[in-house]
Amino acid sequence: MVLVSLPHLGRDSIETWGLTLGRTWKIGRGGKDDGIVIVLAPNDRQVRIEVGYGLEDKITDAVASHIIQAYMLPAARKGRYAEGLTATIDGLTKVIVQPNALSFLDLSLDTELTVGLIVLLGGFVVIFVVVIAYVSTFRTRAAYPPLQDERTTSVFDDNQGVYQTLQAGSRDIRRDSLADDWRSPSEERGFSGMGGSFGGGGATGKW
Amino acid sequence: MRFVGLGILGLVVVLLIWGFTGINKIPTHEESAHAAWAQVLNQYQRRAELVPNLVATVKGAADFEKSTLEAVVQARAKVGSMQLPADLLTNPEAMRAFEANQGALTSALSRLMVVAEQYPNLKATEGFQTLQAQLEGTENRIAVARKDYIDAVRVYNTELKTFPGVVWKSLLYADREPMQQLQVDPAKQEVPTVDFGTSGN
Repeated sequence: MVLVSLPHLGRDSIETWGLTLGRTWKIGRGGKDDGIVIVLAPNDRQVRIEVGYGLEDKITDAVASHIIQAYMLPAARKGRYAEGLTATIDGLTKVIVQPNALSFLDLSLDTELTVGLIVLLGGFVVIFVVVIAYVSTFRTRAAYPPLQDERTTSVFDDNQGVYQTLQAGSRDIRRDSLADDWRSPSEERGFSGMGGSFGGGGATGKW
Repeated sequence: MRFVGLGILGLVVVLLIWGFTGINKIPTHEESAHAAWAQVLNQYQRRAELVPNLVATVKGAADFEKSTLEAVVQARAKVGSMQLPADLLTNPEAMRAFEANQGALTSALSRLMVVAEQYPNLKATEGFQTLQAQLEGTENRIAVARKDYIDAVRVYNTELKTFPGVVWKSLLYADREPMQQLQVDPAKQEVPTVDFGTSGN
């Protein structure tokens, strides 16, 4: 599961971002394609949950949409993004572990339970946090800024089941859109999974 | 003269080797394009299966605009009765017909969703919200599948027209024709216009 926060979507739709990042970063485990990309664009007031092929039966478009409506949007409207994202990840995790367990009407979250589940999942759920920041303002020919991983991210290595810490570097990218010249960060930053099969499943929410 | 002869021979050998490395490329790319197309059909099918549920749910709403609903039902029927010829991908006529029918369903559905905005009671039901999420998701999957197909066809068609693919085509794959390209979703460019009863009735 990867969380991406974008200051601006630029020319591309949030669906395109989710899909392209999921595919280029190969989110998910090889052969299982159980990756999820959550894209948050606070300034464009949009959020998207992009679901890999392997999870489409558990996190259907309707489930993803319900999670966004119930957990993300109420918090996002108040500007409390972290709260919304935490609840969203909780919701997704619950559904993955126990399909049909999510009561959409129950907005109260059992945080302790969820933390327990995440620990239990161990090598199953990989949570990266990536912050992509613009340095310059967005213009017609957007100068995309250094792609920065601003924090040291703790992750579960999904193939070995061990807890490890990734120190990601930063680099410069200048481009107009998510076009073909988007080089895979995996080649340069050691930031990659083995999955990557995404077919556009998931849901988008706007507020 | 001998050196020139050797030189030409060497060149031919190099070209042959270069060519041989690509001997499987045409069928490989063809398969990728076919797989991508299967995904396009698959997603359209998924959408078609959603329509009866959607129509049933919307019908339940008090005096829902009939013409809108009717348009969806008709477009769905047309898509359902469509015969897909075996040479669909290389047949421009058949491809145009396919695109026209699917496009008609796309616009009928998007118009339905716009009209539904006017029915708060309908929008509030869980059944409708679920269907709306599924429809939006499916439209997005269709867009993704179409883009993947467009990319796959571009690779395949390029292989047919460039060296060494063009040589292999003439030698082994003479029956292969370039596949039809899809246009960027026309439904995404036109915003459905909605006329709320100003025309009477």
